[in-house]
Amino acid sequence: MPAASAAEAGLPERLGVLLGRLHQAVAHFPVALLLVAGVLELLGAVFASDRTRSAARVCLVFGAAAAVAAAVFGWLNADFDRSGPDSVVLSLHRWGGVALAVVAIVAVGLSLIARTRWLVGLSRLTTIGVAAMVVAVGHWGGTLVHGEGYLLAALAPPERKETVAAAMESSASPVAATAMSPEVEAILFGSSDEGVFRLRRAIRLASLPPEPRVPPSNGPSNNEIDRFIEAAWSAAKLPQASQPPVLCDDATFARRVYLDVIGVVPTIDELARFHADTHPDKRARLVDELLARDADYADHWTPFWEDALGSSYVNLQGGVPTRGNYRKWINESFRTNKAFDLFAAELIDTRLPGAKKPEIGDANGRKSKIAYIRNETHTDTLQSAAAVAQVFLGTSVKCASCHSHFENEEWPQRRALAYSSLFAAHDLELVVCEKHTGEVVPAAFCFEIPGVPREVPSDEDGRLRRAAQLVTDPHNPRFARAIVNRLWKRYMGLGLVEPADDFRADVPPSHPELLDWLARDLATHDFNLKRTIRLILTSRTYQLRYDPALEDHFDVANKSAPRYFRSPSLRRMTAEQVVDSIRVAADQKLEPRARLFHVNESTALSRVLGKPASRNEISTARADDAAVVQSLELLNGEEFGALVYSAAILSDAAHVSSEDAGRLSNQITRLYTAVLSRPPSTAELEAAREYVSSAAGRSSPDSRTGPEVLIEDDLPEYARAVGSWNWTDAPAPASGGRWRAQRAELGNRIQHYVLDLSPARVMPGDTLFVWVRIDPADPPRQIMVQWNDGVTINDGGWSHRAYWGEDLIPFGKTDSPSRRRVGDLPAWGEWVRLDVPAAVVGFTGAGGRIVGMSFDQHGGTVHWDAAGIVAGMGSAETEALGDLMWALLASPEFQYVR
Amino acid sequence: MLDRRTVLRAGVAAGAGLLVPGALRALEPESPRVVNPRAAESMIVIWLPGGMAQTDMWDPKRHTPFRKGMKGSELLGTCPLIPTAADGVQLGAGLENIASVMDKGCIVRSLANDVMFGAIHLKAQYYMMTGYLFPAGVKAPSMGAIVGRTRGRRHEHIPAYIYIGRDIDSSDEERIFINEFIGPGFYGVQHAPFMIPDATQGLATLSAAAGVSTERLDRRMALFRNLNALADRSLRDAQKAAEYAKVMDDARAMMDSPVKQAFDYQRDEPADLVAQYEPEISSGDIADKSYYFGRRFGHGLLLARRLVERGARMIQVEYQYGPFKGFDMHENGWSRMVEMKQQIDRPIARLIRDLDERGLLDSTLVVLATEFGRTLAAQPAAGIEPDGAAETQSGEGLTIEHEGMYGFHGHFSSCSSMVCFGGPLRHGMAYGKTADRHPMVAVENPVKLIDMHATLYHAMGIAPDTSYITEGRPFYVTKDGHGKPVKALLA
Repeated sequence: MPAASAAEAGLPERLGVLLGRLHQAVAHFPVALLLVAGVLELLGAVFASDRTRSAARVCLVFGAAAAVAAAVFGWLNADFDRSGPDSVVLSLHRWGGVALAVVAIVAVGLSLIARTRWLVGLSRLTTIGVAAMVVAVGHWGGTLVHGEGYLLAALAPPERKETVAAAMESSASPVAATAMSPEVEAILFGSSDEGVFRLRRAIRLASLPPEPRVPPSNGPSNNEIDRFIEAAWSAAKLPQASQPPVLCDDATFARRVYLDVIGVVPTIDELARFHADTHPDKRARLVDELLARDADYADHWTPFWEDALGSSYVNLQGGVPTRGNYRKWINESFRTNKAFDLFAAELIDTRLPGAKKPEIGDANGRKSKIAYIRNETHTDTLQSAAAVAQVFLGTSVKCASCHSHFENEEWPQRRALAYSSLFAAHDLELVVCEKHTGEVVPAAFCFEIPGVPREVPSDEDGRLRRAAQLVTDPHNPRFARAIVNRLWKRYMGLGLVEPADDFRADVPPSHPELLDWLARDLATHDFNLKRTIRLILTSRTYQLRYDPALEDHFDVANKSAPRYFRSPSLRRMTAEQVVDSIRVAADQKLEPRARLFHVNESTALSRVLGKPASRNEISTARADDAAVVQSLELLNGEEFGALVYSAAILSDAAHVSSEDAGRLSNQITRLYTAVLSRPPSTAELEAAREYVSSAAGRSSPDSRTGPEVLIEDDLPEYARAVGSWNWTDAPAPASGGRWRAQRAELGNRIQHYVLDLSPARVMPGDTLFVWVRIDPADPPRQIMVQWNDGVTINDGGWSHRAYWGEDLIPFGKTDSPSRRRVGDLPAWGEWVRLDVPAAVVGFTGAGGRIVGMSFDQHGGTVHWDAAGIVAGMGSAETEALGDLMWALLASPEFQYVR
Repeated sequence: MLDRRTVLRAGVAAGAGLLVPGALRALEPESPRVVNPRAAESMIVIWLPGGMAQTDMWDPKRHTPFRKGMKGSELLGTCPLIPTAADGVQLGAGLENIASVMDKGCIVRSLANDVMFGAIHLKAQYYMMTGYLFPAGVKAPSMGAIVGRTRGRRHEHIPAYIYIGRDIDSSDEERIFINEFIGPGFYGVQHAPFMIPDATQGLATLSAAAGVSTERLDRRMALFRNLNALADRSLRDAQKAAEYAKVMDDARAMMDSPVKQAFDYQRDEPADLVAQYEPEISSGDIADKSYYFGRRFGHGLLLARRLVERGARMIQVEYQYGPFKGFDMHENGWSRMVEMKQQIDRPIARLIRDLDERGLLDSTLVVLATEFGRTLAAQPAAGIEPDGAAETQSGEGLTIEHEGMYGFHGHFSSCSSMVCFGGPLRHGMAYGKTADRHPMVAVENPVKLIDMHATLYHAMGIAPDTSYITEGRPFYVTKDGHGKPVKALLA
């Protein structure tokens, strides 16, 4: 009974299955032991020594016993746990294994009785023969598990795959794509093995039709892409055919390609390095350099695929199981540049070794499979199949799952259902607009693909495996085209096919031959996405200057209007590009762990910039329209303001005085370069200088004059105070009114803090102050002041501390802004104002705030009075530079990629 | 340098072009058809999620006081019935204020679902808000986004869809999910609700950020404009970039707009009127503060009224639903219901009266909605009944052992009530009838949700088969465009 299903079997059968599965584990023992025995005997024979014999015998005895066990388990394995017909290889493995066990027993006998030279020789020969048999049987076993040619395929360098396939085609084993023997077909389509997957791809590629002819070069071109694009200009008799449009300048190119490959703007240094590069192929070199930044490249791709797959960080939403969290898997797949067909196949066939394994989620007391393909109900299956069609085949079948497609005659409902049936354990019933018909539609793939098995497996795993194979098959007319079109759209702004999710016969691609050529090129290069990306980014077409008069548009009312790609289309940055780029501009370094895609929280800013709060439906495009809720967040939102005004790059200028014209110009140029990747024009520099330098003399409600007192005679209204505050008025306080006395037993630490001070702004040039008086009769060993900046994700906001005296209070990290020694304890018995430069305790940006303070001491009695901020010189300039940075970050030039 | 007045003028000029941005023009219906000449101009949805017990409120049955050991089938109503200003229409006691304005409203008592949600509130809420079952395969837009997009802004600087009373900045799974079904779905961020989490707190984005004066804001905005004017020509000529800059001006104008003025109700409105928008029960008197919403809900309604007066199109107000809070009652459902009524009755009635007194009720459709009804439950704890069980239960085998079990704790997908005031709907009536014994399913004039949605859209002048294109195909405001307005509800 070759194809008994484990699920419906009784206990004896299930036990058989279990023992059978042990075969693969047990089989490794005889392999190792018998091989060692053979080697030892061989060494003994070569060096004419008997010293290896006893060791060889031990290996032989245990190896033979293991071989018998492996043979028994193997028989059970073949009987109970294999679907698909018995093949020649299986027979060889089965009978070879039995023969091996028998011969191994004979060898043990010989080894035990061998006393004469002749018998010892025979024993040696038998043992070596056993070892040789192990190699053969093991190989057949490996072929069963991993597929034919597994070893060969590993040896072959990537570009030689076709040669391997061709060689195999002409060899004894007939593997032509269209006429395969059932055995070869069973091997190629019968297992979820990566080696077989690659081999099948190689074999199937050999029968692809020849590649489209690349037009001759009539103008400047960097690669084939440009020749196809130029040919269309010539055909349409566009002026660009004779007068090619110009390329964008280096700065624009650098910004464009950084944002496209790693998702952030370049730093000032990176940009300078690129400008300094004198190689004629510096642009291609930059593309290669960025593509080699595997982790950053993967980070940029991750949110796109999280959207497209509907990845969710929770297993249940709205009482409905999700598809699970694919973030890590996506990131890893792109970091290692996983072949794209394998990427897609692993989502569908989770038995492939690199797949993310399904989880089991508990939904309302019921166990549910949490996986990309959900097929527990009719609707689940339809939606999973539609998601695969939309994302990987660029084909919209959602409508056709409930009724024949109104607008697309290619999709009668039966065709959509037959295709969807492949994704479930059983064929689906025809349900027309929620009315059951009782008719079951047999599974069939949605496209005619030559040379693939006709019959549909009867079990769920087999069907999903087949679905994965057909979706990613090199002969599938949509798979490679859909992804190269997505890449084109990602980098050019519009696809060769639009909408990219809805390929259809009545809406032709703008450049059919280019689409075919790119698709074939990707398929024949191991579905290596980086190859196609490199082709696009190094093409002249990609590097053209943005020109609104020439850019293409897509109009749903006129889907067949031509697109010429004489200019890229203006693209709105994604939420991730915006936020991550602001951080790079602000800190002049990319901090991978701070990238927005890691963050599960949904905030007003991330939402209005288009990052979905939850991904409960799949999506391959984010809306890029401007909206007033978004503008309000940019104009006036706290999150955007905090990102901008806390930028470290602003504090470079903390002490720049407006008279120092050269330094101010430098600072403005740095800001422009950090944000827009270019220096300001003369007019821009002048406008910015005028704004910043006039800020100093301006009197506005914002201008801060005199010290700002945060706490003095009483707790501020609404303040939340912790600890007992002993207000007193004797001896005379520093500034009239009351003050508070704090007493700690020697060795004890006392901490009184107050939160919810009305938020006070603090600039790097400011000075923080506090009045103290140390009781001469009872001095402490240490005093400390802490400031809370309200950024609660860091230590609840308590990340700024100054202390005087010994280093006993263990908060923060010593010698850092979180625990900074400012000096010795002040003189005893008198009121002293202690000053701390704000920058010294970590207020380095222009957007610092103080929302709470804490007054601490180690032992003794301390009197504390007024505490606050003295505005420093230069803070008005820093603030004005912050305004400039805000204006640049909010500008269309930053928010769009051109 | 530009002065502030110039800035404002630029904003006003820009605003006019923003209702239908060019890039999207092709996706709009040929013209947002106003299919009903008597259509209301504004809509306020008072969203009371958690599953309001219709039996205690809008569709009361005979009062059967608690008796230890009473059978479930004997438990019909937990409060006496009170008369209302509408002839022959009775409400549950505790809603005396709303009863006094019932002549201006109608109750649909037979809102009958054919979908069984069991205890899955969020899925039922998604259905109520969008008209589609989750997952819909497409990001379905909410009722608010549909009305906002199709009817557009009434006043050029008041967002078309405003949402009051919910704070959704979170990674919390439920709150994020809620964000989806009150949101714009595939309509995109342009049709996203303008969020006002708490009317009593004002709105940070409308006031200059901490430490930034209006003067500096305008100076900064002028810098922004100056620098953009100096940037590369290609960016100024690009349609998308120009639109982006216009929307920035629009946002700046909104900071001085009637939206911001509407927040000044403490200054503008008489104190005793403001007090009418506050609960009749104080936080000290309530049994469990976790479902006390204080002034937040009522002041939200007052803000909604002030926004409608100033030209808002669509406003949704809720009390910030949290699982097992508010109307999602299980243990002690009876006593909690008393306290919930004390929190919503006066503010809602005041809103209706205010709109009426100002002559706005005919042009403003007010809807009280919840996701499903309530029935008996074998135990007060949540989520233990299998889907559909409550819908068939007669209560014969159930014994009410103690007061904690007295009340309506079971989730009842089959039937619930919806209440409408104002607009072009009929007034002073109750439509549909439910059984007088358990299960209290609709026995007369059942109304499907899709048709109720169609009725509301019709009242707002929106055809039920209005559609917008996504993924190359039309997506309708009622499922497949099949919703039919209920004629008996239309005046």
